[in-house]
Amino acid sequence: MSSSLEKNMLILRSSDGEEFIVPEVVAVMSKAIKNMVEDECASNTIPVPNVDANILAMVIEFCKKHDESEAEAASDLKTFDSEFVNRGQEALYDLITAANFRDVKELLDALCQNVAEMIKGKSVHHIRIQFLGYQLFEILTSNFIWNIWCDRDFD
Amino acid sequence: MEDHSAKKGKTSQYDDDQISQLPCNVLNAIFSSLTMREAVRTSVLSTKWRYLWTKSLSNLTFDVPNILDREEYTSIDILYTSEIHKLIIPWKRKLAFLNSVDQLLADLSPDHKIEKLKVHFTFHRNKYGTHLDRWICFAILRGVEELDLSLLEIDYYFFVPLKGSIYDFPCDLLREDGSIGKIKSFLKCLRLAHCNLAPRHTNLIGFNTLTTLDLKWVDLTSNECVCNLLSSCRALEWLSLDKCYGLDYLCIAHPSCVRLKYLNVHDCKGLSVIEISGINLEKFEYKGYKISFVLNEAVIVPKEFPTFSNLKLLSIAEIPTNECDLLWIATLLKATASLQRLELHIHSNDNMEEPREIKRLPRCLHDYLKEVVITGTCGHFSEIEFAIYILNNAVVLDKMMIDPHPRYYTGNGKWDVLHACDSWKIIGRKRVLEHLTREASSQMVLMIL
Repeated sequence: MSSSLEKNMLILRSSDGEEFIVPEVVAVMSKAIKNMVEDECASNTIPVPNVDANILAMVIEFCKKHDESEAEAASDLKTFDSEFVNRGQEALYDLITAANFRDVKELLDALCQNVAEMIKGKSVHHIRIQFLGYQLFEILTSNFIWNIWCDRDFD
Repeated sequence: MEDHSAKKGKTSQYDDDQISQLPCNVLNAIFSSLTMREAVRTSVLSTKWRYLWTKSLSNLTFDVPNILDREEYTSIDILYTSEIHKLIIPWKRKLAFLNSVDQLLADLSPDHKIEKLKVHFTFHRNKYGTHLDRWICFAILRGVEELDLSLLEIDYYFFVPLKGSIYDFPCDLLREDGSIGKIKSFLKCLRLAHCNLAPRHTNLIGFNTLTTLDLKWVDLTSNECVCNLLSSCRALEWLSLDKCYGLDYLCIAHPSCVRLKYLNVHDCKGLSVIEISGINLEKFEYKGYKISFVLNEAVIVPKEFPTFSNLKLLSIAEIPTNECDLLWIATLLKATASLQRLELHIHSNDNMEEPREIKRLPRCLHDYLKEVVITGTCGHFSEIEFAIYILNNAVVLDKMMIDPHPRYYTGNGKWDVLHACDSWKIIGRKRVLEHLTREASSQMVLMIL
């Protein structure tokens, strides 16, 4: 397989074993991968532990877009970035961890900016809903049950 | 209140939001794009967030929007109804500010590094100096790189405080045998406004690492103090003195400031002599009254005149022309050999001089110059001389436009266009037309509006 591969392509393998064929210029947007390639300690297949296929696909999408659109207008790239990073908290967390671990500066910057935007100018209540929102129901119900039990005890 | 805290205690086991578990460098990046107030406010989100900011905040900004929240304190207008309010409100405001800042510093985690400390608040008198000293000391102990103190919220143009009434920057803190002298200082950039910077001693080792010194409305006290200061700044590259006072003889001499590249002196009251010796400056700007310059073995402009070999468009704004020679631009043109378009925006008055002989420069061909636009012309001879120089020397010139409407640069690539001067229609246009049509070649377009 690797012999038929074009010269400047790399294979990235996610933590769950899925393989992605990526041009080298895109892959080296990750500093960690760049160092591996430069030190020639990487075979054609580069394992990307801690990052699952889903997240890796997203990271590659981002890098590809940024690689292609160097000549494109900066504003287009900005809208792409802001749409790209606008995700649920879980995906956001995984993306940040991946970008930080693999050292993809552009992606990390865009993601951090997005988290900052979630805090900027919002009320505490609003930020809580954004960050802790998906657990609110759980908290409310558990308190509710606890309260009933307490009440019963008092009875 | 009790109910509230009890609830909080119970919920804490559930709030495992993932953002707060991100690694420190990522949190730093997130916090650095928030204002300090927003960063501090995240402490109430949940117990996980409670102390996150104390480890992640590296730029401290102590100014009114970040520190004070009550409306009566946020505006500086002292147009209160009664006399008593005029006294009480600023006083209460100052106390509120000091308390909040002290509280905030107490909350910061002890081993945390601070990169920048900015204080922008009105401290008219030195009365609160001990607080400021403490903050500065705190920041230096935590490896601060940039200090920015501006101790008056509004720049009163004519405001010069009484001697000794403004805050003294604690130079002694940075002395070798000062209170924190043993600790290595990382200070790279010091910006001060509306305070007093007067080191009484030399060997301020805290200043050895300084590369940028930006002083505005600073009382420098005496020539001797400035000497003490500069002799300690061995790594200084960038020095700006803007509306500073208290010195009349500025001496920048080898061996202090040997690395100085940029010097800016702007409207310094009382300054009469600037001496520069043995220093290779790249750029020196002076604005203000006429003073004497003493230059010993100093090279102000780089040894060779810079050449801009790829410059295609050159635009020079706000050129005075009355009784001034414009032919210096010819020298500039020699340095920009590949220039294609030249714009000159002249800014002069319409006191027309009597007719006189036209001066001509020696020939110097410009092979690429195609288009020349001169705006704001009144018909002065200096303008005509320059236009003739261009007509004679720009061999491939296609177009020359002479426009009497002055244009002022307002920033961001925008220009303001004003009315042409009155004498243009009467004398100026005729004079320009008469001199230039003789010189223009037949292949080019000469437009005189």
